[in-house]
Amino acid sequence: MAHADRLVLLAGVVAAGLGLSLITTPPLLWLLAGVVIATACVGADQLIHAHWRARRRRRRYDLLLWIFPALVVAGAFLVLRLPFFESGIAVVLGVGVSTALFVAVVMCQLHSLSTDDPRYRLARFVLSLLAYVTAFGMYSAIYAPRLRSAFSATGVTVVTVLICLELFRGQQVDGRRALLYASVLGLAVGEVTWALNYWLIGPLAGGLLLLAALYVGAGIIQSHLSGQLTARALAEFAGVGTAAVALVLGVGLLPS
Amino acid sequence: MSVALSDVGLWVLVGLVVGWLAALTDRASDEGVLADVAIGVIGACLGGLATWLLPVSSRSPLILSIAAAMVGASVLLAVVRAITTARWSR
Repeated sequence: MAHADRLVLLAGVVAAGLGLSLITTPPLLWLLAGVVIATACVGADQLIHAHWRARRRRRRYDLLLWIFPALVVAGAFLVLRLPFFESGIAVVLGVGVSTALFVAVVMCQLHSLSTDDPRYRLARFVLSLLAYVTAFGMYSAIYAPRLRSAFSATGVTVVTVLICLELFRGQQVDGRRALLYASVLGLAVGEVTWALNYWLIGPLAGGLLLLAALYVGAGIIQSHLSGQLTARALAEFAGVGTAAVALVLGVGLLPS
Repeated sequence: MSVALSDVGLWVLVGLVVGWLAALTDRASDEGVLADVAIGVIGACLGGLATWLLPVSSRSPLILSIAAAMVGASVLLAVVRAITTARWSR
């Protein structure tokens, strides 16, 4: 089967699963989510292996490549349950955009496997963009129901670690070091969630603040890993983070 | 063209903030907030990418990157608003 056919089939399964999730209730919903996420991971993995076989290159088996497709599908399951998606058009748009995101992630992963690929830089750019957008969507979805810190902060920590592993994959750093940095940043953003739970701000404002924390932390670590961390770069990240926090908190706390 | 990957995060952040503020000032509905935020991110990325076409340096300065992302997001939001308003007023 050709790459395009496999991808269309996989996208169809993901779209159907997301659509079904809207008329399913727990505990069947969790089972459905598990099956669709597993299918997305295995399907993306098979596509990547077929891509490498077609180029007669060494078979690379990288579990890191499962993270982003799984996160996009899991994020879509969560985001589609937000109150924004109550009308028919919003639901159709939500399922369509989520499926398009999943396809974009898989295609970009195919082109980001080797620095020799002519589309490597573009693929890394799109993957980073989608990583930040996915992080924002998941942070907002986790923050929206105002769960206890034990659940929300843990969820944000896990999401941050997984997103950072994808972001740091482009830095050509070894797996253990990447996991260490990702874990430290995940814990830091989890701590921010714990503090945010004491504030009465909306899900978008909460998601923005958590994204600001991720941007500052990931930016500093990426600068360090590429040997470009200077006092000026540190000041720039601190300035952007402070401005984002001041703006969001300032506007978010204004009386409506 | 080589884009610093931390710049991508900055553009997403700026686009989200601009889209969110636009939705707040317009008291948009839930779908409106989502649309404004999405348009803000797309506009900020287009604005940010435009700085890489300028003959400034190998990496554009932070202020220029932020300003371009803000302008891109604001312009795209204004254009989309103008188009949708014109359609509704017909």
